[in-house]
Amino acid sequence: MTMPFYVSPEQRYKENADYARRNIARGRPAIVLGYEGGIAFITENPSRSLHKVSEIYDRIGFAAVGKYNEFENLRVAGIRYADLRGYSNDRRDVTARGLANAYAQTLGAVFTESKPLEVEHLVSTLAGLLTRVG
Amino acid sequence: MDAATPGRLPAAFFTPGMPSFTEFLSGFAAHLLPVGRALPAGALPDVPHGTTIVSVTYTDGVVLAGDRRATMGNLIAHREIEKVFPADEYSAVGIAGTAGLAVELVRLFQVELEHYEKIEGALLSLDGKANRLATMIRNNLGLAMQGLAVVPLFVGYDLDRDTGRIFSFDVTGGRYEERDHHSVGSGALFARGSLKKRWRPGLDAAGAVAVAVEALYDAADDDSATGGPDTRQQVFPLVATVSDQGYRRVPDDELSAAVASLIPEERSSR
Repeated sequence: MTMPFYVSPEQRYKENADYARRNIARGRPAIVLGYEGGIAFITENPSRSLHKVSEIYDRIGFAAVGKYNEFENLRVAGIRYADLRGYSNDRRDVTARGLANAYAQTLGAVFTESKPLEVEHLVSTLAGLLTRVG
Repeated sequence: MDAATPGRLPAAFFTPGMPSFTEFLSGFAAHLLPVGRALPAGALPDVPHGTTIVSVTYTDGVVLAGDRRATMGNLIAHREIEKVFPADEYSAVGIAGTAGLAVELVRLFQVELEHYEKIEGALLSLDGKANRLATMIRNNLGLAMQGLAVVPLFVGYDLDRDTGRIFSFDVTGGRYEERDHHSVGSGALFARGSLKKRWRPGLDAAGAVAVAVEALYDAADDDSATGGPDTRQQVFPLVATVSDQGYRRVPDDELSAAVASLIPEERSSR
């Protein structure tokens, strides 16, 4: 029976973080900035079918860089989260803060238990909250 | 939420290739669906029923209108119920039948269309929207057979054909496209008679609104379950237009003019 090499948690987390950061850096950037009348999402997008910037709900937007299939999964999960909340409660009960927390929990869990997601994304709402997750 | 990591989004949220909210809900939280449940044993109590919905096409789109009454047996359950809703930017749905189920079904249908649009980044075709609604109605067949039927009337502006279109449904999920005008609900027979006489090709939006309001007025005249306009309490039918400019609820001041012009005309003609 072979024993796996011992890797300290610090080293594993550092390697995971480096791995994610290195691969995210290869993508084209997205910029999200607040202005007086709202929030602007700007990104260079070579494809119309690529959803780097997306609507999540009434006043919640999403922008992401990194590996497409991974952030597309997160985007769709965010839409499902928001629509489920809005349908089972009320549209006003869907908040970007709640969604950002759910994303943070999900990314955190994936980071520690398997390959980290090569994704950095932003959830923003017109209420002025700009949350960076990733 | 996932028991292993509290707060983490469950695996069902990450299922790829599923743009339907209803499908997602039926797998993840089926108890939230308004349809598809078994009725408990025993006699069904009286529940509110929505009554008459009419639709009228015009040159630039389609009008959908509903009276404001809900009935419960021989009682008036509600005098200001709203039975016409925007389904999305370019379509609207009006409901007759069991009010509680119907309103919930419309909410689900609205989320369904919005969900698809956000995930796919494109609108469903008008036929696609009508088919989705037909599936939802079909899923309610079990309850419909036990007296809880929901019968919608769906209208929309077809961006591919540049025209307003009307779809009616039966409780088995049958979907039928209607020409020029249509009506459903308890006062539909009387409304349809009125529509046949008053509708003509080439109507503009105001003309179509007037025809729809008059059809509801005629339905209310003969059907006790359909509410007529209440000028004293300022309760008018809910009327909406759908055109290439999108969904627009006709404001009460425009309706009050249509109703005011209608009532003296009705009186003098009798």
